[in-house]
Amino acid sequence: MKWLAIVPLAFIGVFYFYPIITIMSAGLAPDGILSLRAFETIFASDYYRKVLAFTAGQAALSTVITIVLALPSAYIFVRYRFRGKTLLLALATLPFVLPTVVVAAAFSSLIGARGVVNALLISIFRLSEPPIQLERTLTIILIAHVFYNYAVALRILISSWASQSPRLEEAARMMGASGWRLWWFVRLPLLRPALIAASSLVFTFTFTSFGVILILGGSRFATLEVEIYQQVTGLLNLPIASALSLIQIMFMFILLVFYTGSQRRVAVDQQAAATIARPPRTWRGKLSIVGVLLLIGGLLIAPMLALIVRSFTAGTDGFTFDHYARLSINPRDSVLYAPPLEAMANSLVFAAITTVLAVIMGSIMAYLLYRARSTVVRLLDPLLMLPLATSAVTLGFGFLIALDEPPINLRSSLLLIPIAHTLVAMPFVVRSILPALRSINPSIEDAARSLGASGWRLWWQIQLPLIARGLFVGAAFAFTVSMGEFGASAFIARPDTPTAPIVIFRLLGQPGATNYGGALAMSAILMMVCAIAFIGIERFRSAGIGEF
Amino acid sequence: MFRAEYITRSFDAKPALSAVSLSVKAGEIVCLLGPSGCGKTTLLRIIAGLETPDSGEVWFADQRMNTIPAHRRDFGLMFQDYALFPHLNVAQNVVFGLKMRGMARDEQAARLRTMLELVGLTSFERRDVSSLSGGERQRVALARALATQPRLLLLDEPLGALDAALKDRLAVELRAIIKSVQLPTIYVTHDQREAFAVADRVIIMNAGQIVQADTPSAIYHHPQTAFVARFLGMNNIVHVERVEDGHAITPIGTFSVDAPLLLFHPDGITLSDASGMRAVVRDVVFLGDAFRITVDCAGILLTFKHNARAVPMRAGDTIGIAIDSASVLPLTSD
Repeated sequence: MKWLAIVPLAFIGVFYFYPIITIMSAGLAPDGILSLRAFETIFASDYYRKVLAFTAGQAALSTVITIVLALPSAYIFVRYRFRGKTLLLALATLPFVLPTVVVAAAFSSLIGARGVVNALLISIFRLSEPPIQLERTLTIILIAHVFYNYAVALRILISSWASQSPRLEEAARMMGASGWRLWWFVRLPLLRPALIAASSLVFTFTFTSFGVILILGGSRFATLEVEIYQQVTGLLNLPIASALSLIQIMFMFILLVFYTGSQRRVAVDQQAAATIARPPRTWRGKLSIVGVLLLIGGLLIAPMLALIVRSFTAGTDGFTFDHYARLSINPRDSVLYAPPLEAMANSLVFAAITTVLAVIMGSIMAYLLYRARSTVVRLLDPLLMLPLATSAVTLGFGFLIALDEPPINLRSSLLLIPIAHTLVAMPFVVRSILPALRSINPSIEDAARSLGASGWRLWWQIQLPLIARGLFVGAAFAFTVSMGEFGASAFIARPDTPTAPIVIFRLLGQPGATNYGGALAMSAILMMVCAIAFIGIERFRSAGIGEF
Repeated sequence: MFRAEYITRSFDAKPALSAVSLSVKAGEIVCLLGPSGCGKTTLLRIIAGLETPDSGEVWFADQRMNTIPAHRRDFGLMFQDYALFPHLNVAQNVVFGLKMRGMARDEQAARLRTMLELVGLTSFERRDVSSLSGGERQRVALARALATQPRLLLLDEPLGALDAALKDRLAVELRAIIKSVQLPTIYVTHDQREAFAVADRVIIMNAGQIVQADTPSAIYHHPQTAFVARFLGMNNIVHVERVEDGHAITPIGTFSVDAPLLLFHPDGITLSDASGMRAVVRDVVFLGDAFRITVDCAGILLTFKHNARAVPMRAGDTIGIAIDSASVLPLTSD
């Protein structure tokens, strides 16, 4: 088993570190000598400092808002039993698996200039222009980030909270603690590891935000990730792009060490996960449930509904299937541009390959980490998460310059996309399987050994069935991650075989109601595909499985 | 001092408590004893204010407590799993309640010292609770429950998580500590040895109702129902064939007891010579301080203890036994 770990380690070495190091050395040591000029430029320039400050600032702000909304929601989910709770939690989690381009399309169809809310307000008050103008503002970026990450934080907090003994809180109440003192002295300190885990994860996701900023923020806003994209594609300034990438990777690695460390301490004892939820008895309890319903309905479900509605109504006064019908037509009649539906088929194939690769290598890695006793192996945990935190643009560009010449020549190979997606999907697989492995009672393994099962048979007969749920969850995550990946694909996809998100991005960027409608229809389809995979996640995810 | 009246509570239409009443006098230790699921913990939680009764009232010194929330009742509660705060050390755990009451720091420190002395944990202040043994945790939990000087102490299976030897020792210590602070106490347990060792008065519960309440020795010597007898491990229960003139007729003799169900108290059965009643030995078990002998006497199985270094008998032997008619007791069936 141990030797098998060479496969995923070699994969990461060849397809992550080799391209990243290649692009870094091309950028930072163009003549073979390390030059730190790019860093000097960055730190001396007001502009880059602003980009850095904005990246960290918006991530911090998004994290704070997300946690502030998720914390009371988690409390209500743990505390109260009410009808439709499971469905609500599932719907709240759906945004997390949606591609950024779909999220952008969803928000533009809800509160964009041509969105549902504005259309309604215009027709009611007979206005000449849309009253809500959030496009290209910080507000809409923050809303989208909360939309994405609310459920991530909610899940982590709920599973940690539900596995705590309700006696602790009762003991505190018996000793006179109530109200804010119960929160300050008992609940929050007990939740600390979960709060750190949730915050560092949300911060990581928002710090590296790319699609949301690029599409919803427009040219006014640039995170590091967007800036790297501009430097590479617009300005062809490789040294600056590499330096920015390196800064981002370092920063994220520190954060991930925090995250994986705290995740080990959030020991979710699945047996102990007590059901302390009760029907609400007081009007305050009932009111707080209504509050959560409104929050999830308004913030998370409304944009998804609006997307579906607009995909049938955009550009007309009534109801139309036109946008869907046009998806099978090559809009430019060009050899290089495939019809959108073909892109969807490409995406499905890429996602299937990604799922297989990510599940096989992810489960080997999870097993290695589960067995890990030494600090060196434990450091692999955050290292493995690094592709999540690496600029997708850097990775994509790294692929272009490192993998198209000997020793590894994959130039314009269709395999490049699933390989890149696997790097991003693998952390999700590992994080789904690892907690399942850690929750196996060690005496079960001892019992199997004493009965004669060891090595492969132990894995095949005992451990694998016990982590099967985690495995399915990981597979579904890998699938949706691949369906939605945009940053790296934008670089490495061949023009004649684009993925679905790339086509949506192209359509969104082109003028005209037809393109806009096409983007919405395509997004709606992509959303449905992800939702179907996601139903798989929900069916197999039991309480506490999966650290996302 | 404290009383609960006609407490009724059901969970999902299943009754957990039906009209249970009990009272505790100043300085008295009352044990709620019963099998798991008998409602004893629910009753304790209702008294604590952590659970609300469907009907019934809780009173303390002529103050109705029903509407007073748990954090303002000023009752101390110690949990079976101790519920020590893992993010706080021993000292912080013990003074938690004092902090909530806004007590001055030097007073807190003084109380902390007194409490740790009381439970024999001086110099444990800075220890992490995760580094403590089971017995030490139990003491910290007790010190924490006592620190606020509550009006009523509630203990939910406080020794449940400990091994037998430690349990015996700590039960005695626990009683001494509680008695030294003269606190009215309600103590929940399913272990009769523990209850007898700790309590002034034992209340036996079954299926959400009180079946017998008395001093430990009265309960032991005079169990009133078949349930109580069986719960205390006395299985010599005999169905009477018929009752004539106030005399119960059984296969092993006639006894002057007017009841359809009899308990042959194990303490009243002794080995005798051949002149006694003849019985066939079924089983001999060495208990350490005595032998437990089960015999078949006219088709009825009787178990009793015999105190000796050795017994010269094996299963299948025929022996003689004597039954003290004073320890043939009437039982109500349940």
